[in-house]
Amino acid sequence: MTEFILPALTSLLDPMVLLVISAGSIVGIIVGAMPGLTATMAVALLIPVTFGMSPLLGLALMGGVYCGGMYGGAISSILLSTPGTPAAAATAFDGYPMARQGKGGTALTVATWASFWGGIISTIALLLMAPALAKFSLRFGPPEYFVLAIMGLSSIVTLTKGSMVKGLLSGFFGLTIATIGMDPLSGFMRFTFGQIDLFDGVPFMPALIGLFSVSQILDLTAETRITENIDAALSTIKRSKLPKGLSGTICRGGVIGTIVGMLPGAGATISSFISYNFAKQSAKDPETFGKGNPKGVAAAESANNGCVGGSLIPLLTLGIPGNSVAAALMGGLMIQGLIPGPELFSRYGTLTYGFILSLFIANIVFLVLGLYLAPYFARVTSTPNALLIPGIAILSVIGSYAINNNMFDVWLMIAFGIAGYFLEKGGFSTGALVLGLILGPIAELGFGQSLIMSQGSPMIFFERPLCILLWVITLLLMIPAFSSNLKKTKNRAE
Amino acid sequence: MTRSSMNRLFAVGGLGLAAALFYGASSFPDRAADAARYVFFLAGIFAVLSLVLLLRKTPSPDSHVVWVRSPRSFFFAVVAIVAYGAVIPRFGFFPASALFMPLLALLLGYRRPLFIILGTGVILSFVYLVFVYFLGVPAPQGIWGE
Repeated sequence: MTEFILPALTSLLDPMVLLVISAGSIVGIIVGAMPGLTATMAVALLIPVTFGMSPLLGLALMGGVYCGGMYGGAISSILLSTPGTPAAAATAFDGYPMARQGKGGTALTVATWASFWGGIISTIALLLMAPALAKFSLRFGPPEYFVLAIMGLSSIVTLTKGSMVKGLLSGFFGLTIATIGMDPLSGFMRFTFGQIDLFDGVPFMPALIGLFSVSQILDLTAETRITENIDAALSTIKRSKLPKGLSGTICRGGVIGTIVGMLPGAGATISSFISYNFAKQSAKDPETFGKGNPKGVAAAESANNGCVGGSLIPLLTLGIPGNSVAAALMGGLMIQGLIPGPELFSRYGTLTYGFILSLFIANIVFLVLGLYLAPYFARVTSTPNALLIPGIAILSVIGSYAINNNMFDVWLMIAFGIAGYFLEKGGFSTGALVLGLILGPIAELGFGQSLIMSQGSPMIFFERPLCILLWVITLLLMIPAFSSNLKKTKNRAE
Repeated sequence: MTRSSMNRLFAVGGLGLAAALFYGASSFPDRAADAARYVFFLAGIFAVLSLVLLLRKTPSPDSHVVWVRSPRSFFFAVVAIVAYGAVIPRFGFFPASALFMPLLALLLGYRRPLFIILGTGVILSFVYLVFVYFLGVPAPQGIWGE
């Protein structure tokens, strides 16, 4: 690892890197602060922009968006009680009461510092743990990769909101769409209906942009603007210092966020709620939580930014995205020709460590931006939807066209967008569908090669020690979903 | 439409897809036997999950599904986006976008021409700078490029 750190640091001295990280953080904060728009959408729309950049610049840009987006959600959560991202929902519990008490500035300061330290803790964990996990993944053969894909899929879909069956159906629908095109082992063309543009499979980027961007703007058509009462909220802001006694809560939140973020599917929303509850239960004054206790803001925000580094650990080492933003980020890696796994930490070591170190810079950038400019970012949330919707549609069209310079991709993006909208309304998960699309080729190759190795016996997936370990982890990850389903059934029966 | 009938509809769709996959994979040649087995595996899981969705009870009281909260705006947005995609190859990306943005903003009820012009200008300048100037993307030119 050490042999890559110095060249990676040197590569970060390029002023362009700082420029793209700052641009990414600003875009991320703005998008994160706007309820209805997500960091996933911003990353998906920016991937085509990174296509012509050097890999480090492209990854640094997306890293900046990810960090900034995770923090930006706190701004509208505190000022408007409308979380910019689902991960900032727990922030509103104490952040909004603080704003109502005229302490909006203090709440924003706490959120900014907590997000910063949460991000730093998780990036340190990423730096130290990822190389070891990548080395361990060298022991994986085709059967392990197949079970790993199932693990990534089942864990993320079981933790999606609503029905577990619908989550699983969404994921397997993604795997099914991924079978379109040439079979990786025999070269046989499947389900292309003679359409030449599908011979290489369903292009990933148009699907990603359609599902994460167009489906969202269609949902925005129901409202005239995202937020109405921004001026009243901004009047509560005065620049404030960070209250004392929050360091323990922030450190704990950062660690919780990192651990939960590493679990495929668990993600920032769950980690911020776990951290919030933990802070409340361990506090001497739990009754003050929900009424404007800064510890509540610190716990939630440090945990959701703690997820950033955590979710990148399984992504960079095993190719399993920890959440939907990481799934979109994987698209950015793939477009640069980078395959997650041990090679990222050996052959492309300078680039990978450069990207990880750039996350430290991204955290510093959003800290400075957040401390001084948060109220200005909040103003952007009053942009009318009638301008946002066509604007995002134009970016989606040129973004999906730019990858292959092909109008077929634009039509595919529109089709995925409309289908994604109705699937979401029907309670299905577009995040799980995208994950299925990503994991499809890994799962199929692993499945086919394993059956060749075992001369057709499916027992190969249950005999090898690492496969058994992965099945056990899969079952463990599914327990929360099963238990919550059982609870719901029990409650209904009562 | 109620939630339970929606679930049934999706479940029947899922079973139909599973059957289509099964039928499709049955016609794969021998050299693609492994590919066929993978598709059979997916079809099997899809069928089982769809059956679970079909047979399981929907929590009562059964609620109605709100597919579209504002039908008029939704309809305008979908039609405008599809029409935008259709006219790009004919008129070119920039003229089509310069028409699409103000038109959709007006259809969605926005009535401030200055902001519409400014917004269109900002978005198209951004696209030109980033995609055409820096990345060299040959944006469709339509009849102007012939």
